[in-house]
Amino acid sequence: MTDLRLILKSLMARSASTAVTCLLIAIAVALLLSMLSLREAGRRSFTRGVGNAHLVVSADSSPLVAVLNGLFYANPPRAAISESKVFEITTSFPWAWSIPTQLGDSFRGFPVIATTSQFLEDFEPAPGEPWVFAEGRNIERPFEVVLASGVAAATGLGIGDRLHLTHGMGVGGAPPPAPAVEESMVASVPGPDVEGVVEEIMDPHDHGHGHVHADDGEHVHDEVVFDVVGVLAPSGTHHDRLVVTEIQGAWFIHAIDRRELAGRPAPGSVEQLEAADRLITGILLRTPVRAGRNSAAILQGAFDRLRRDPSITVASPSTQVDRLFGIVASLDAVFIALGAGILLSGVISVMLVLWNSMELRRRQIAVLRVLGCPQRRILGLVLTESAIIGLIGAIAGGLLAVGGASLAAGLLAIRTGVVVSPSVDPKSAVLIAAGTVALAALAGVAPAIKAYRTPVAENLRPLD
Amino acid sequence: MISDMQPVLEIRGLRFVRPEGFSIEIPEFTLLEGEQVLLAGPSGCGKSTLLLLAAGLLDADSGEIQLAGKSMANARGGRRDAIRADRVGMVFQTHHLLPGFTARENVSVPLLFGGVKPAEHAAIADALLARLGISDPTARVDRLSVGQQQRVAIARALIADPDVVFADEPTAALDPENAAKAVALLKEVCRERNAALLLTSHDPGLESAFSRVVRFDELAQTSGAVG
Repeated sequence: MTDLRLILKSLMARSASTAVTCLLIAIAVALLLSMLSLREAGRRSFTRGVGNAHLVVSADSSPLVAVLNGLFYANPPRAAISESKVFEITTSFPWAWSIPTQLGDSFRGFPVIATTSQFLEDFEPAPGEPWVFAEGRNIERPFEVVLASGVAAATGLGIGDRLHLTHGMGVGGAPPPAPAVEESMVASVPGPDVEGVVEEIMDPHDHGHGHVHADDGEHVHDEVVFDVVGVLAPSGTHHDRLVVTEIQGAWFIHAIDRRELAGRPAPGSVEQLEAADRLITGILLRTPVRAGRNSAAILQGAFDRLRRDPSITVASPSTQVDRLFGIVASLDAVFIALGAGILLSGVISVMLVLWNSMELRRRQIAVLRVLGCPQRRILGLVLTESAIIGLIGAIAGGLLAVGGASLAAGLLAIRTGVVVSPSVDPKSAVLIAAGTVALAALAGVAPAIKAYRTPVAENLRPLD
Repeated sequence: MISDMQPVLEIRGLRFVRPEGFSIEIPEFTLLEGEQVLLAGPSGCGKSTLLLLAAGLLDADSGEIQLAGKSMANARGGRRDAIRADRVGMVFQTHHLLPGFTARENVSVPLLFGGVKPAEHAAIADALLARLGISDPTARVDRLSVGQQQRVAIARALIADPDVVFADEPTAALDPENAAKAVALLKEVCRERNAALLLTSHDPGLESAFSRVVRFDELAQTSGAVG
């Protein structure tokens, strides 16, 4: 027999209340740890997900919105950038690369980015980690799509499959902005020779013969089918939810809609697109940098110059992500306070359970005293018992946090594409576990004093 | 023979008053080493109170209690607990075993508080339990018969080799035949382990089993009800 065995036996004798109390503590610890781990993982994921773009330009109302829309595909940008402005921006500075994008369509809820092949060549979804093709090739012509790994996995589509795009960004999304462009300049966006292709792929009567349609209830661009020509390997970022398509094909399907509304005949090929059809909602920019570095001294100058232009919004993705986390930091504090509150209530429940158990255990305590257990040792036994409940709760909470955070990360990846790798910081985990044990021991003080003061003689009387 | 032995319990001029009015006064009482004494008296007369005072579980208002040569009246707190752990074994009418614990664990508890190494507990406990006819020391006490529970309680009282065993109405819940057997066993094991025995009972049928019978009303003066 040891003190520890005495305590464990005592806990097991009250297994139901012990289990409930430990569970309360475990839930509180798990909440706290999950919040801490997901907060850090989320931050890492967002920071990583900005890729290697130095600047994002759009016509959004604020830099933060520009980044959330342009790089995190939250919503389609509210307005397009004028053609002349696109030309001015892309030619007025020796950018390492500039990639035009148009957002506003979706496929089965996955955002479609209409862009050039440069997006899969020069843009890196995570800094230093270029796109890798799992199979197939880059987009080369209109009406071709490349599926990111998450889309391929979720839809089961692969090379050779055909699909229709949906107008709007899926649930809660909005259609792309109305044309607000000037004539001419957007034509400078490089595009392949697509003559003769359009007739071949236009198929207004085919609704499902070998083609995959997007979600019902949305406006489906079912006049044109898109061919899957490539599938990307996972990048571990939210970009894995992207459908990448050639920008001229996207212009074409929207031109059909617009002309139909205007009572005009649909264009026969991308060659017949007009300036009003060629919408750019965003530009990803990167300044030249020396090998091994991710920022350039000239970046600030380029940023400052673009920022002076009131017709566009220019944003540094990394700065905006920092800003975003600065904004949600107070929310983090609320959640952590909530977790701490739950922990405190768990600890109070430990006190109440032990306090009540002292009523039931007065005889046992009296017997221990008769058998030679000093009062101080009784005090120690109850405090240790309380601390053990805290320890069991902390360990169970840690395990729950690991499982819970993984589950939450999985759900987050499915729902938002944001890939987070939750990991519990060992220092935080040890601190929370130690704090929980200390708080639980503290919760045992009042019951322990009650046990200490248990009158022996009164509690040894025979039971009736 | 007995007169050559040292006193294991000496009480002189003891006075104890409960707040609710019950009082007990014992001018003198001596229990010698290895002696077996029946303290006879009706239920509620104060016999149990005397045992609790002797064991240091109640504080006397005045007087002296020497247990194996050590003053319980002057000792306080942990010191008194240590003396009790080393020198006293107790048996109760309702056994007061720890429910949910095995026979071995119940018997081992005094060893824990007596400072015996935990690794030695099982062997010591099992040997004494076997001597008392408990063949399965791993059985939970709440699954044992009343008779077996009483033997576990006797084993627990004697496991730390006390100088004296205080048995408080240990046969009150037993029929006369089993009461006689239980007292015989307790006396026998106390004798084997050279422990004195002070047994309280209201049952006159037990008087024949003891060479020395002390009547409580001749030993002590009381007033009020024990409550």
